Amino acid sequence: MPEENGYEGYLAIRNSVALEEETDLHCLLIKGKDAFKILDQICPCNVFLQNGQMKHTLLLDEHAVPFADVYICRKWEDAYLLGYWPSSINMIDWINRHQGSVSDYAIIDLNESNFFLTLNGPYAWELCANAIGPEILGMPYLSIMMQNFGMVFRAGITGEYGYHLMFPAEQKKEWTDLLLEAGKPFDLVVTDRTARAQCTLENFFFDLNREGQHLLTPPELQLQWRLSRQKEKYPGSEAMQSIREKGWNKRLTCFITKNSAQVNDEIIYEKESVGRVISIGYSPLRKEFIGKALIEKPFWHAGLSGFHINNQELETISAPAIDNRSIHVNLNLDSYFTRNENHDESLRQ
Amino acid sequence: MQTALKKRIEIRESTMIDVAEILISALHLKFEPGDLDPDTPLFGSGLGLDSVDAVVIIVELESRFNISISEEEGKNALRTINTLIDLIIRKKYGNA
Repeated sequence: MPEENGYEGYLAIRNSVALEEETDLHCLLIKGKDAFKILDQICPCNVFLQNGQMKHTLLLDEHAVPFADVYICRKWEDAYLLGYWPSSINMIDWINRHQGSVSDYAIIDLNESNFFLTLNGPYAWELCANAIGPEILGMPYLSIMMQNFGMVFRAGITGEYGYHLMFPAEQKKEWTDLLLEAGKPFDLVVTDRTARAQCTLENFFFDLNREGQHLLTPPELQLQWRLSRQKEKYPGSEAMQSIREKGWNKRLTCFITKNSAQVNDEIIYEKESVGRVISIGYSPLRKEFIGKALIEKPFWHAGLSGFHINNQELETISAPAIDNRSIHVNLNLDSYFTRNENHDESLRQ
Repeated sequence: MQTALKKRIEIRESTMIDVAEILISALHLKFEPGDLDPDTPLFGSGLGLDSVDAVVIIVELESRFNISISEEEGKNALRTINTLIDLIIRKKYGNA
């Protein structure tokens, strides 16, 4: 990045609040008696949810490669599929192709009549509560709440507080103006996906547009926690079973280096290639470049040095690469207006 | 491979096995040890642990590795499995 496009937005996500219209965020409502049965057909995880809960998972192709980064959500008997997938994919068609004997459900594409505004940042909760209502403060991470205007999904992939707000399309200007006005005291910055992507990289979140382009499987992506070992049948399950039986010998590992590099640049140890760069970006907080590399076993551990990339030193580190301010914000005690300007946002040591 | 790097890798691998075993047995997680990736988040969307689990983890780690973990150290290390491993290695081996 560094001081170029998205830098101001990046700082807002890390220090105050950022507002983004997420045009790449999709949401499907699945209604009917079999709403959760159809989710069970397509998801690699256990789809049991209490009312108001969300769960982070993936949708896999037949090779167990993720093509969608999604949350499944429950509101009473309705299921929601919220997340990121390429616009070129007709998700409703894909779901219907995997319906099996499940038939009593209907899918509504909520993007046809709604739009999403997302608030990210350590004080997103405070702005959200001021603009929408104090009930927002009671929302745990990975929960949803119905509002008279639409819905609030508390999630986020930046390591900071995050709220996806779904509004009716015809109220776009009204709500955008309201949030911009309410955000002025919070030094709100309007961002795009550039800033979000930099934050997801620092926090080791999966980015479909980045790591998702390399045809890697959940074990290689360190995303096995999005799957359930107990679940036997789902799209990609045979490939996953085969991977588990054979094992894998590469995985994504977080790294730092002082100089930039390119995707697919080789990582060298004692003149031998032991991996390649999958994603890289400048971290303003760390003041160095961080990235994800696909590294071979046994070099795939964090905390190792002695590697080189383009003759520059590289070391592997544990994720996340930074100490998020949101971890230190207490909703009962803190406020953007009484924040500690001297908060140490340095890297974790 | 240089001896120092080989030793670091061995320490990380053995610590990872121990930490995964503690997490699965103490918290009754429905994971196989090989399912736990080192950068898996412990709270929120990852393993979905809570504050009670955090106390259990710290007590178990202190007992298994014969180390003492302060509240601040625990708070900083309870992000991912790898950050726990970092703390344990720092406590047991210094900068090894």
